[in-house]
Amino acid sequence: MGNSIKYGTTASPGTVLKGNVLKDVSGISHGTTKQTGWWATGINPNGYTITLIKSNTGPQFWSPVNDAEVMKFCNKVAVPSPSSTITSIDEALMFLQKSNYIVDYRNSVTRSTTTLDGFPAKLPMDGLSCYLDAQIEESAGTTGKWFDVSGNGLEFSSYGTALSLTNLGGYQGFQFNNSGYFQCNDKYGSVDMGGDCTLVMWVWCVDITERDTIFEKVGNGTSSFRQEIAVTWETSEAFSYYSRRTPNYDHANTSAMTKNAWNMVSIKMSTGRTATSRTGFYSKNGANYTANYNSRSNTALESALNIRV
Amino acid sequence: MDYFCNMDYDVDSGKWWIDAFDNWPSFDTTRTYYDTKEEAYVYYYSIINNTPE
Repeated sequence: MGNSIKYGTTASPGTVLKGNVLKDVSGISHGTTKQTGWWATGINPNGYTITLIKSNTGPQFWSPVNDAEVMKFCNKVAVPSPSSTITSIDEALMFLQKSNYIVDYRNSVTRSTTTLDGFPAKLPMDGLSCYLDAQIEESAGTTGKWFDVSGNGLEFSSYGTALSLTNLGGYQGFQFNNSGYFQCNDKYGSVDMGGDCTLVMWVWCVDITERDTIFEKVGNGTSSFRQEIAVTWETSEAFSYYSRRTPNYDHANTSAMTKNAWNMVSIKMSTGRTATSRTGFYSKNGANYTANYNSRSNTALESALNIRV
Repeated sequence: MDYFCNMDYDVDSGKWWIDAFDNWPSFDTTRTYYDTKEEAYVYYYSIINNTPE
């Protein structure tokens, strides 16, 4: 089964909007078109698929076999056509990104072949409020921006010295530089790290020589670690995470990350929005969750502000 | 043995502080202030790899 798409102008949970095309990324809309309203599309398992859909018409698909054919599609087929002849694949993808065409690229060796192109296999979409991925063009392909592609539509802007994209262990990631960060300035309240929540990070670990904050929601009138969440990366290569404040802030940590390797760390917490003790757990690389949380607060937390990565 | 809890800069006093668990398994921490970040890091590095059993 290919990805399901349909005409639409507003992204709903579990979908990604591109022009007037809604793409199902939750995998729950598969079924006959008559029953679900979704078109089940054909997808090239190793290469590009370009899709166009309009109201009251069937979808159209093109499957260019290589970069040259993508450029040829842009120059000869796309309507409206580019203002000048496209001569590189980067120009072609930038042109298509601003068009009503939606583009898939699949590589069955390195990326999932069972979900929307570029999205990790088995990524749970239900309840996902924010998803940033340096691997996905739609997320990290614009200089100075990092776009949430969960369907929630959050936009992160670059501050400080811009982080550069670099290839580490075969995957693309943003390289920390002790200055730059991305911050979401709008709709950040939709990412509630004060309630029941899970934070998953994929990080390439080097020898950490200075303590830094890797994820936080900016404090509202106080430090971030006293409200919804702040996560710091310690020189022990472990993460510390903090929340709440009264009468004292909560604290927890994870085990150390493995150096010179990609690590997936997941931190989940129960709600801190009541007087009940908050609980916290972490998992490294998909292992069972380990309880680790020193709950010292007996007071519901106050909501924080912007999301920073 | 002391276990690291948190570290930050206090704008009001202009000093760095470190909270450490010095009576584990009690979750109570003791805060120590330092005039400079470098001084704070000396203590930080000395305890950051300590892990409660």
